Amino acid sequence: MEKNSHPTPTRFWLRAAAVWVVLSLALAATVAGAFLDIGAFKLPLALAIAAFKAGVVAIIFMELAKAGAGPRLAILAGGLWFALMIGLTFADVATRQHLDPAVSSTQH
Amino acid sequence: MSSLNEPFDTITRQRSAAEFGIWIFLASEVLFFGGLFTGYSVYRFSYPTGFAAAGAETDLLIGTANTALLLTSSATMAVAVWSGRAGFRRQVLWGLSLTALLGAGFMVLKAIEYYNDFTESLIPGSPDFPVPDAGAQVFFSFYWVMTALHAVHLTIGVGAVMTTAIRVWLDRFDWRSTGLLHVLGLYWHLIDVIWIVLFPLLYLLGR
Repeated sequence: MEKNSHPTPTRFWLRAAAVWVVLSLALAATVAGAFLDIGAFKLPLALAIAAFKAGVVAIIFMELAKAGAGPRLAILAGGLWFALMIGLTFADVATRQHLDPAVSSTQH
Repeated sequence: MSSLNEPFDTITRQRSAAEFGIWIFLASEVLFFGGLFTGYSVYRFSYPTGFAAAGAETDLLIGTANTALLLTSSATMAVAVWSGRAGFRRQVLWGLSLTALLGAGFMVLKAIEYYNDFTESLIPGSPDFPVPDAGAQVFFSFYWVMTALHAVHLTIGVGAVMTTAIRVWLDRFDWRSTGLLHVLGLYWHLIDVIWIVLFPLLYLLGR
């Protein structure tokens, strides 16, 4: 067991190459997906693949899986604030009613 | 060649403090770019056709090639970090050098792309701006600001990676036990992650 987990330079390059293959396939998929005739699902698909790629980089390359409580809290705080920013902004922008200009101008 | 600095008692503590510090910085970067992502989303919501028409004008070939370069550079950076912990000096130097080279390659392609954008008048406010749809110029405002801000981060990254490579080569610091390689790697990977999100927003619309 001890001998099996002994790190070698080759092992590091192979591990990185394996992740690289996954990331490259995801890149090819996202470019191909942009030319699919799926209308409104294009952007969600592209963003889902982007989230997958970002997740792979974060968990394996940035070693998030091994990170302690401090780093996890920092990421959680950043992610939470970003979610609040997007969420509250669209709670406004996406729910505005567009009044007839004639109506709104006679209100004054 | 000292590795332990004030006020830390042990190298493990110093390492976890450095790691925590860079993660807080990265979280602040998420908010920094997050403001731009929010602005982009609001205007895309308001001008979907203008954004699609403008998005089709960006250079998909260079954008894709640059994404591939950055993804590859993250892999070479990871090799440098893993090798650093194991004490493989030559692999650290190879990993860092390749990372800096790939980052420089990104910047060269980006410069060519900017030049082409410029000659095609893809500049908001230009009288020759080629896309008439409402919101198209707003898209390109975001394109320029987001890619330029990313390029600034990448330039700092390439400089830091090259400096670190030279310092490892000269054995100027304890790269085995300090967390410096890992911290540098985290910064580099975040530049990659931000580009991973920018790519579909700027290059895949209107195809």
